[in-house]
Amino acid sequence: MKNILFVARTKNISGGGEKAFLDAIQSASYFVANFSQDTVFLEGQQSDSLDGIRFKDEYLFFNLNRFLC
Amino acid sequence: MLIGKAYRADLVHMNCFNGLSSLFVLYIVRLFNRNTIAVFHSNMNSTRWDGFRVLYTIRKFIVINATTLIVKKLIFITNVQREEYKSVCMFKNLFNKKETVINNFIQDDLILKTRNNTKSVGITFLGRFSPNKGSEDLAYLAREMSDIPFLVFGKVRRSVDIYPSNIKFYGEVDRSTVLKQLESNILTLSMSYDETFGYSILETMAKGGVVITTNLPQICEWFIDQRNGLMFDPGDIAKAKQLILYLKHNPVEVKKISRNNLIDVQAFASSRLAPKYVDVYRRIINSTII
Repeated sequence: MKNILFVARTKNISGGGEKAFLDAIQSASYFVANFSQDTVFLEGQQSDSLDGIRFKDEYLFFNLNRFLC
Repeated sequence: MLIGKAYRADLVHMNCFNGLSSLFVLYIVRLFNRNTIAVFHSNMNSTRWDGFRVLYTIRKFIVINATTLIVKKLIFITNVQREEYKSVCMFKNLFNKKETVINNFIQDDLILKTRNNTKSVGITFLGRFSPNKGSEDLAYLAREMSDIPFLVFGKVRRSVDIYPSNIKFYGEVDRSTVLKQLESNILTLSMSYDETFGYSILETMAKGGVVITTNLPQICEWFIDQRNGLMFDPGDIAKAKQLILYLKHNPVEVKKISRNNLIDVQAFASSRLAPKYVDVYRRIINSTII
């Protein structure tokens, strides 16, 4: 079993600037799809501004903004 | 929590490298000898304020050199961005071994198959409403084109009362609202002086929208003038006005560009580009096992 730890900034997601967090979710989704036995931890704050994005149960969210802002 | 997870991880993907604080997290992770990849979504530039330019360049110099030394992979989102970082990196050979470019991408299910609505009552302004994104140019343009509403989304730091009344401020809204807006009005405008990739242009293309944008090198790398939209030099407000009027009076051209964009955006669908990250993960993890 492999653990991929994502560290992603969640600030300004809907601001029209960089959408780095969305990329993280996408690549994490593909990793899960390709390595069914593996676990992806996606670090970040689950937010209403991310509606339309599918979250998988195995993702774990917490707010890392205090480190990255 | 971060330290505990970093300790258990086989690979740590630092998804947005944008400053010295990112280095702090990276070096904590490296304490546990974890494999790390750093993805740069920012170019860490100061674009319009000369006084800050030196400080920004110093920050960029520190970040790229400190990062190049300890990560397994450096990922950039455009070639132009990669070259900008390379120019201030002292460890060129190491940089060349570790770097790769994976463009920004957009979810497949956000991409429209066809677009029938080609109307544009207003023109959507792309990007944050800030000077380096062209907010002051928009104000000037709006005064020149008082019969056209310009739609602005996101936070505005200054009082909106100082701007022309045909700039409509919607404030901070969720992403789905912005995407719906892109489906309602086909014309969008980016007056930016600095972009790393120009993700909001990609979002517009995914909705079959038509973009009038500044011809920044980072955008020209993947956006074709006349095919995906129309381009002008940063700050050339007269040209921007001319292009808006041209498209307003050429619905056939608008339809043609809209169709082109729905085709070309497929190259940036997540189903095509996200697997590139998976390849990077595989190689790093496998090389560690070997």
